[in-house]
Amino acid sequence: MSDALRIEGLSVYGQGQYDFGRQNADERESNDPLSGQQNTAASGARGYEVISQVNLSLRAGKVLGLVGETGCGKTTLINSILGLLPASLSVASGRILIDPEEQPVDLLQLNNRQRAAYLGLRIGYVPQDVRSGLNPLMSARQTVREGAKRKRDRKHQRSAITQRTDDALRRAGLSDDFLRSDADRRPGRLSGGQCQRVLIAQAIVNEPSVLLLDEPTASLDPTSRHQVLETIRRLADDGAAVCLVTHDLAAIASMVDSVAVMYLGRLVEIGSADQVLRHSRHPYTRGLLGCVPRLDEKRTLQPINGEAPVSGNGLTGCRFYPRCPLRQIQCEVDEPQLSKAQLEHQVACHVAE
Amino acid sequence: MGHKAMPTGSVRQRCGRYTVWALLLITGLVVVVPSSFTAQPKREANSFAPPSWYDRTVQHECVLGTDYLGRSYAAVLGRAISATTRVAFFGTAAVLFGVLAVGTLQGSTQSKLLGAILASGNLGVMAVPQVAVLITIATSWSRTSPAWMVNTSMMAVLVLFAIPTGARLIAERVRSVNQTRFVAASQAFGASWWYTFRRDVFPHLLEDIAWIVASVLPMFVAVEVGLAYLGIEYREFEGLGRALAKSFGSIFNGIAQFQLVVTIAVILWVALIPQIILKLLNVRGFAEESV
Amino acid sequence: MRGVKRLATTLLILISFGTLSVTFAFYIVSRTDELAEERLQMSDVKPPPPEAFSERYARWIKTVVSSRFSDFGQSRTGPVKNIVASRLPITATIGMSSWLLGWTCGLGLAVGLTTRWRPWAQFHQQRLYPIAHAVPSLVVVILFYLVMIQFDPHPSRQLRTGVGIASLVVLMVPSTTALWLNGIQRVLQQEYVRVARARGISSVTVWRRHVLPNVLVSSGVLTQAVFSLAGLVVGSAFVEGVFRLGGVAEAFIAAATHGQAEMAAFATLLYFLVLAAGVLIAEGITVYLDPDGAQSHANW
Repeated sequence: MSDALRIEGLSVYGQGQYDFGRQNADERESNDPLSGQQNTAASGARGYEVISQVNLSLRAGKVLGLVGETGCGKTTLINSILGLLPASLSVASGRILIDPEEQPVDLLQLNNRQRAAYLGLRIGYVPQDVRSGLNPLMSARQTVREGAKRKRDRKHQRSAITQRTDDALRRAGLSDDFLRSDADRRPGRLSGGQCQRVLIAQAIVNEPSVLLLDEPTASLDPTSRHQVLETIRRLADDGAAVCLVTHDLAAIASMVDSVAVMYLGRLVEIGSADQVLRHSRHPYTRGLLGCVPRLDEKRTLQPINGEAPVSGNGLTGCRFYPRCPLRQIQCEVDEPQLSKAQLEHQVACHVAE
Repeated sequence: MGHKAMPTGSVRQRCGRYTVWALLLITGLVVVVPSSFTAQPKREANSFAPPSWYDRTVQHECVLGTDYLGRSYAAVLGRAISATTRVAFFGTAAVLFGVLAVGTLQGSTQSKLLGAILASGNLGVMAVPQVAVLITIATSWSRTSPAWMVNTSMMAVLVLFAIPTGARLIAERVRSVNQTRFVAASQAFGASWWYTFRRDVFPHLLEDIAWIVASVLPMFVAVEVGLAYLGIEYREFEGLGRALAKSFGSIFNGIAQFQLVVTIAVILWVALIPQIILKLLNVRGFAEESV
Repeated sequence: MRGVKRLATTLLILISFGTLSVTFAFYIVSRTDELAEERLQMSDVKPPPPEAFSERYARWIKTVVSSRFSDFGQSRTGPVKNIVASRLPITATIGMSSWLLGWTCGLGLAVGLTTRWRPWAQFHQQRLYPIAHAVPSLVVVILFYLVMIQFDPHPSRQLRTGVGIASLVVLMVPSTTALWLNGIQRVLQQEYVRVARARGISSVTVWRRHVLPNVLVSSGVLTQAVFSLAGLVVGSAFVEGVFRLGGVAEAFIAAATHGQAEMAAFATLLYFLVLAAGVLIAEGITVYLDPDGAQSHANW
């Protein structure tokens, strides 16, 4: 399987000191749909570090699970790909290549208009928030149809657009009954699971080669969650390269092909699902897995000590060092780099090595 | 850098505070002085003349010229500022009292009835033109009615129009402060309602109160000025509105035009004083939430 | 169904409110006429007995209904209908033009402040708007007149109308900008706008289909726009007076001060007709955009 999207050495920095209030204000400003292109800062003008030197590949037909605690940089990574970074954040270095093996295009070098040619057509995106992700004044069908109109096939024929809209809704796991009776309803009159599938449908309507899902099951009940995950797996089997951002390790364990673990803006472990979830080597990954409740086993959950700081600034050595139960003197001084523990299994930890 | 920033900030803050006091002092003097020290300007029936630089009776040059009655325009303007400012202060105080009483009551009790009254009042304020109501109220009094009754009725209309918006703002703030943990803690310690309100709630209302004053006071000035121009003013009252209307009436006379510009500058000064003070004290606006 | 119910309720409230206001205006202004009688009593000529409000009001209603809304009674200077008909075009021109320009310029500025001049958005909301709001409107109108006569001491009617409209637009723009800006900033924070951008939808479409409809429905801009249109019927009094244009607002003031209850009542009725038309149009837009009423800003 070839790579559909490749991230090379991506680093994202925030301006000045980290300030929640300021960041919120900037996020508000940056949400402006007419804003300029992706913020790219000169590497000299750095503030606090949000993402550092991330290398990642999304392969066609495979699902990559991107996991980590809240604030570790997962959503920022997705936003970097989409060009939707808040005004307070800027890409300091790196490349995001689409079609890296055939006709590589660096998304970071494109302006808004050029990037729009890829978004929605080559890259599909499903947001985190089910309810607020859909325009409350547009019906489910209108939402998906709006995306379908972007692909100019058969001279933009109305019937072809309608056909593709309904197909997308079906492929997202919505029944024919829904298409007949509920597809013209607005989000306020749909269930959370239905809304999530509509969001998936709008993302896949143009059959993108890359699908980015930001915690798509976070607000769903177990039944809906299972169905949505099945749908995502099916989409990958149809050839899409899927990146599934989540902190719900238990839910994705059975359906992802590989897993990348992030901590404080850095990848700390990456490998196949089996390698990372069953034979994890990084203490942070083990800590995350230790927090996952299991029905078949009665055990005490062992959360990771302390809380992750909002930024890795001021920390030398391993970022996880202050919370690590296995820390050594070396960890405080030297920052570990990702190195291969086994085939395709990389870990950034002195102890694991 | 950080060491330098602190003193600069505090110096600026201190300068701002001194300027505020200076402004308040000047305004206070302007309000008080004309009544205490300036003699009543002469009104002579035989001097209905266009505004001029000279007081015809004593043949000396006046600073701002004389008005259509031959009075020194500076004295007329001083008295007008005093009168208008007094009305505006009195009206603002009445609005503030009403807003605080109704807003605190609503914020504390969350009464549905009072909430509905305030909501419909707010709607009424938007739907009914204030000026039209004032005109009809002012003209409905007989000519022999005492001036204080007419003026009070007009003031009452203005106060009633201003209360719903401010009261809703205060009610919302009181409600949100009442939900905080420090208020809960205060109540858990057995503090009385009045004590909790005075110590924990009221300090959080100060910014809103400042902004209500800053928007209500200019409203009183604007209404006085506007109504006087339309010929419907407070009875036995000579405020900035009349000064403006009279100088506008002789606009093609050079002196009157000059007097008009001076009067406009004075009106802007009186109307904008609260805003300038808020800016100097660096009080954040509620415009974003209130509009 | 829900939309129809809402429209019917709105209509009912407006009719009740309008009827009450017209009656109140007639009652108050007819009292002014009684005062004229009081003054006459002081002279040697015995005045005719004053006509009671109820009789006069009933007669007016009868005249209006029996003439099938073609006769609205007599004023001292002629039939009310003719006076209003001669003055309405200028009031309508001033009102509609300044309303359209005020709200359009406000929208343009708000869009500019959220896209191109972002640092100024906060300045506008927290400094400029409150200061502009505090400036008495008559002062602005007079300043415009003052500037105009410096260039042309004998301005034509067209010039006076144009400058008058400009003064009203300048008065309106800070508050319309603040309202639009407030709504736009709130909607731009919503996830669906970000999702729309992530789907590569063009900026114009994002504004047209996602931002503006939601601002209209959820922020109360429509409500304020309707009330400001109706308010201009009376609010243009300063412009009509200062620029010597002679409109309905001036006629209303003259009627109120001279006890011409029929004229005052008709002017009030006119105000409510404009208000009702505006409310119904706004309701129609709201129901069209948001038939479920999920987002609507219930302000009436």
